[in-house]
Amino acid sequence: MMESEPNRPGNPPPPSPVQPPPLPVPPPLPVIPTSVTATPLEERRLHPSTIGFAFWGALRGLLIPLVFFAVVGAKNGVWFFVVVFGGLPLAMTLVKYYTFTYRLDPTELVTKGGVFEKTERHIPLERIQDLRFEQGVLHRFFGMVEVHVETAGGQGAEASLSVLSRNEAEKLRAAVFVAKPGATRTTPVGSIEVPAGPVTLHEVTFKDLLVAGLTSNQTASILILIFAMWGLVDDFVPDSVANKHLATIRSFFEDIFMHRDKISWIPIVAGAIGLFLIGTVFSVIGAIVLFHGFKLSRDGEDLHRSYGLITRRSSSLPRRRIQVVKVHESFVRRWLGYAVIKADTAGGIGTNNQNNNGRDVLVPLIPKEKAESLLPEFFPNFGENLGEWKKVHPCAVPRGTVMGVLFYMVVAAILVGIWKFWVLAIVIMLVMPPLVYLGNLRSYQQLGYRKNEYDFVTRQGWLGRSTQLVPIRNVQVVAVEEGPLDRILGVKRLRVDTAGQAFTGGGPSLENVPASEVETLARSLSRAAADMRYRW
Amino acid sequence: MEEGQTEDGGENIMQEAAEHSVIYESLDPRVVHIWRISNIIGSLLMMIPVLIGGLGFYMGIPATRPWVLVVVLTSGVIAFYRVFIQPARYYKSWGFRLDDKVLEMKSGLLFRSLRLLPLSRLQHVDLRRGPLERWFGLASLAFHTAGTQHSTLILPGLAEKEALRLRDLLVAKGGDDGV
Repeated sequence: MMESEPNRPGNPPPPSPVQPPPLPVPPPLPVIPTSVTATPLEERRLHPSTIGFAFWGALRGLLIPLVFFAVVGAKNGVWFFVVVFGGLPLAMTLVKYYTFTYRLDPTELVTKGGVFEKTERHIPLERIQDLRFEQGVLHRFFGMVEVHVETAGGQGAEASLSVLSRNEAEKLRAAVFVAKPGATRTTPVGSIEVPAGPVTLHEVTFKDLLVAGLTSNQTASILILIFAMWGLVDDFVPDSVANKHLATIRSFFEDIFMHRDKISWIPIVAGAIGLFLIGTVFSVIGAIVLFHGFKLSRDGEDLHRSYGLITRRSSSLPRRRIQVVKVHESFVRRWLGYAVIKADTAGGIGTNNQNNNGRDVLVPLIPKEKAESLLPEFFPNFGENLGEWKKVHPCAVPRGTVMGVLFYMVVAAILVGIWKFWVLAIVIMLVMPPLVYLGNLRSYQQLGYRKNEYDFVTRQGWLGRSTQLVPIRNVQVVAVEEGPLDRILGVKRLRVDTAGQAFTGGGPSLENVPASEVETLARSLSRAAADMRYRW
Repeated sequence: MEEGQTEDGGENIMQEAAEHSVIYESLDPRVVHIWRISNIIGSLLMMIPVLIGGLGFYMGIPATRPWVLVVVLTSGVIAFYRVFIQPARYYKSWGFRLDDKVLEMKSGLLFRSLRLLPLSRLQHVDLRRGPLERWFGLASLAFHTAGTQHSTLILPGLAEKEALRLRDLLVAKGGDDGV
């Protein structure tokens, strides 16, 4: 039997046993009763005006074939085309409207659809990476919104709700962005403090868009687009007509070729300049239409983007979903002091075409210094203790130069040996080696990386410059690669894999890293990544 | 201080000497047979059309005879290489290493790569056994990550027991990431 110590007068009371300090308990996830901020929505269909939009879409689809038939004059296939381009899409949308429903449960978005094969899709709210709204002119007129739900998995929109009323869409957005774990509130619901509202991070001005259009690389892609459309024409226009036109064009070029000595080059050069100017005008208009009024703001943990002149788009993205950020300065933009910020989440689709409607950019154009100041908004803790840019070993410069010069010597030898172009060969050998050296030197100067315990930043490029920033917690696999040419040069490439790479183009990578350093760096990165947990 | 980490600025070039002594485990040697057999099948699939087509052109259009010879010869050389030389060389290029935090795999003859997988990024592991592998008592492991280009890393040519042992070991060490 234990006796408690008698409390004799004069003695200080016995000290209470020392308690270890309580383990810090992470604040419990706010349990937000859904009745407070988001009522579950019962099962319902899309908005009835979906049918109207489908009708309009069918009409637009019919327009192109009808125009061609008016121009070209074939009568037999008209009804076929009306059915295929008009009737079928309309019928399909009608069917979809009557069979598609969605509902919002406290933790999931559930969609049901399908005619013969019914599909029920459950999307946990906390897995939703991005919620995009799109409004065309007609949508805005009627107050309707297309909602695209993106989750990780890289398949693009997991669910598309087209169309919902603006009200419904906002309700959905409010529900989704409340129900995420670790959500924004640092104060418990019901407390007196008011959570801070959205903070505008950057607004793109009209002048910025002008610069963006003037400096983009879209001229070439517009020309490609024109050629592609020409290819489509083939499908609609009967062969005889097409051949006649093609023959005309071919004889035109043959004439030019035969008379090439006599032709004055001025009209041709003028034509090329004209095309270039047209392309520039198109890309300026394109930039303005796509990004007009671009605003990036942060509301707690969520980044909001909204932009667009005719079609208004907005997107909400929790910043911890961002896997990797790329700040890209093309040659001209760098000279002018501007950059583009792109980001990837785990839900980005791997589209190769240029037309992803601005989804890939966090900011389409921004002065360089401001871009750097924004980085901590995307990655809290960024920038502390990052250190200087570490360069790789300079041996890559002489090695690359030697290889480049050898290459051009071979080219010159071929030119002389086969075609006897002495002058051209001499010009090449005089001009290219210094350029090769400068190019290699410049590449070396740009190539670098910085690392602290949280983040890994790489930088490369010799004309333009790309800076890629990946928090180490987002690093997946680290790969070191070499091809035969790299082996000759004694360099390897370091590549960091991340959960999303569609828009930043391939994850952070360093090329021409001397072999002696690259494995050390790769090992240190992968070990650091192993110590940090990856969170969706 | 772990290897590779520096607290001040420069990377220590002297560490490269240490790096070159990294020891990699080899795959099970029986995998060479598997690769050889599958290369034989592939080469046959390639050579048969080439020979038949070549014969046709040879008899039919004498003008193409030199080209036919060139094509057949080239295909023959490629097939020879793939059947007799490549499997063993490829086997030598393979290596893997597992330590407490990272799984490393290297492979490749012309284009070589070293892939480092932080164990806490391992989402799940598949054990795969194709028909040839079953015959020889081997298996492959497929490691799934959340990455894009390297979302699945494959380690082939493991003895069955070894594959099971590795899989169980890695599943235990693997991450509870993604929560």
